[in-house]
Amino acid sequence: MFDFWYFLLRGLQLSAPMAYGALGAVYSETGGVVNIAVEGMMLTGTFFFVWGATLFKSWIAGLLFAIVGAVLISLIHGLATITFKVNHVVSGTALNILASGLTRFLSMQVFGMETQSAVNPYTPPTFLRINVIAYFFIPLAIFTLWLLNRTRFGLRLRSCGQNPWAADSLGVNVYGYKYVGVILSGVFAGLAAATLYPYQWIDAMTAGRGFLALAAMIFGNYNPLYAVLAAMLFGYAETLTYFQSQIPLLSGISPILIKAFPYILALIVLAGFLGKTKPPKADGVIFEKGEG
Amino acid sequence: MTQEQVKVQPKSMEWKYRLIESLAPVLGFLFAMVVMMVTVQFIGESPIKALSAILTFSFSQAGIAYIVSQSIPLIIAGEANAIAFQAGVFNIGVEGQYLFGALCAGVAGAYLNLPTYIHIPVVILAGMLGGMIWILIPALLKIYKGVHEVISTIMMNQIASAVILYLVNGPFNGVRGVSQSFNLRTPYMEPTAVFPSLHNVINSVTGLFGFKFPHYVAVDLSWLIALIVVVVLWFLLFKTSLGLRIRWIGQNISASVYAGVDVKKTLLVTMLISGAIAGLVGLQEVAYISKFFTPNITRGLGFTGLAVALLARNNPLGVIASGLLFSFLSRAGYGLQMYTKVPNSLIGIISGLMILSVVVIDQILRRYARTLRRREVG
Repeated sequence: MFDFWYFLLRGLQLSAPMAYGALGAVYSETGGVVNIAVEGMMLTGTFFFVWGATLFKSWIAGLLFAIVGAVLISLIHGLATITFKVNHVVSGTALNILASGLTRFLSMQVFGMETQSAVNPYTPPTFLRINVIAYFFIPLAIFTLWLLNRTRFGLRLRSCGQNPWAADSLGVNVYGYKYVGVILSGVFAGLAAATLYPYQWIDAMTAGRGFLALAAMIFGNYNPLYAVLAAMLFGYAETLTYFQSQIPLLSGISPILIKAFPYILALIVLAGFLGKTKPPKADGVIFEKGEG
Repeated sequence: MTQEQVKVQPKSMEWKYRLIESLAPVLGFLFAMVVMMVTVQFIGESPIKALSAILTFSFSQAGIAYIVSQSIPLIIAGEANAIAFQAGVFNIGVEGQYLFGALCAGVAGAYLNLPTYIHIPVVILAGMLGGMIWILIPALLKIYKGVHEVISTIMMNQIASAVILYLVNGPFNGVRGVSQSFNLRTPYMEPTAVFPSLHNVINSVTGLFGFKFPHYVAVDLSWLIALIVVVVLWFLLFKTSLGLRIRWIGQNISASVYAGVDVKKTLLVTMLISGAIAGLVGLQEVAYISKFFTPNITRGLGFTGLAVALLARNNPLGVIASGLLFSFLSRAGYGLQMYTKVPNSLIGIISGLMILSVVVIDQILRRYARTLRRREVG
């Protein structure tokens, strides 16, 4: 029997890592910092979740650890790109490599195994059979939309991504706002990590979801709500592969092709229906106070 | 750039500033090594022992041979990324392009019956064609629809993973009756399609310096392919007008529009070249080492290639050094793993840290050199 309600909820859970990742990326890029490091921040978060939870025997500690771990990586990204003015893509790529090594290294030191952690019994509580943290990404997307478009903070963050020189001349602390954007992307990557698979850390377990989160953000045209909807497209398509055998219409199709379907669909949508996506004007631009 | 034109005084210290600016890779590497040794000490292993493990394991005859041989796919992947970056295109899809290219090469090698002097070029072209097919959609979407290549190439990576699995499971399955198994692969390539070994040629040269590549290390046609790719790309970028246009677009797209560059056409050509090179990345493994294509082929070379290109600042010649460096680091990791208590993963941390420290130190040194120049000019 096809359990439609469970399908809906399960899809919400599978969408959550990409949705949180995409929301975080929206904050970072709104402030003008390109964040390829979402993948690495999420991966670090997944390890730190299991580490914190098993260390303090509490999922809340795990969540805090996940956020701290991801924020640490985001701080390095901020330091490199904002303070030291390094190319954003270079820094992000380096951090993804670093995070992959770091998690395996720490796992060896903490759990004695390089490719997986011990099993973590302290996972977030479930509501209707799914991780409670997964329920919050839609409200948070709406909150983000309001925050970015209706508050002074949002206006200033956007100004740093659109024209940091103008913002600077009006007295906005551009470096500070950029840091806040990057750190928030770390916080959200931590939330993403907590919804991915809190039972155990496994090497490279994010499996490209951080990159999919970036894709969702661009797909959603840097708008938090649309980005989350794009993430849900990927998440629900993944869910479909688990429920495929229960759906008569789909049971004849190769599960491998079903897996590729959302990405093909995304390409078609991008090709046919959407116009150009518009990143913030100074996204990825190195800002130096007093120049330009 | 503007500072370089301000050579007012005859006794300029310009060479000194240039030297300061060029120190970043060395200093970054040294910084990463120091951090590594401190970490080694921290987890209770002797840094001296770790260092000697790395050196003996990497710079033995077999060690050097492996480092050079395994740098070949990294160099090719680095070049595929570098040419795209030169035009300001972020081809994160090298991963999918080389997977599909490798599949095409494997299929061309297994299903065609041709004399060897035609079959091998066909295999190589099939790989390049596969890579080009896989970048064509992102290229067209970017040019005609303004779709950002990061999103479209990531999509194509995901689709590639699924498509190769589907094709090797279905029409190109070389092991009948086995479905989705660990041994999933295409049929063996015809002997006419397998890359020839270049041991004799290379060893006759390196033998002059007393060095021989052991037979178990892959020394094959892909070495020559990598060399050709490097030379052709360098020539294309720095000696042709197309190369000039590519670099213009990468540096300032709106200025190149005013200068009359056909941006769409140049972008399309650049991306197709990038895809074609990406299609060559897996050939060493497919056409020489395993002689078939499998979905379990080495993954992640596209992403490492990204780092290789960035560390070389997208210079085709620099990519050789940077590819060798990453190959050395991976070898060093195995050395540590084997002879000390230090896990292989430390090398991952150090690789990331090295890229970061090189670029950060580079920025600091440039700034320092600029201050010195300004002081000189007065």
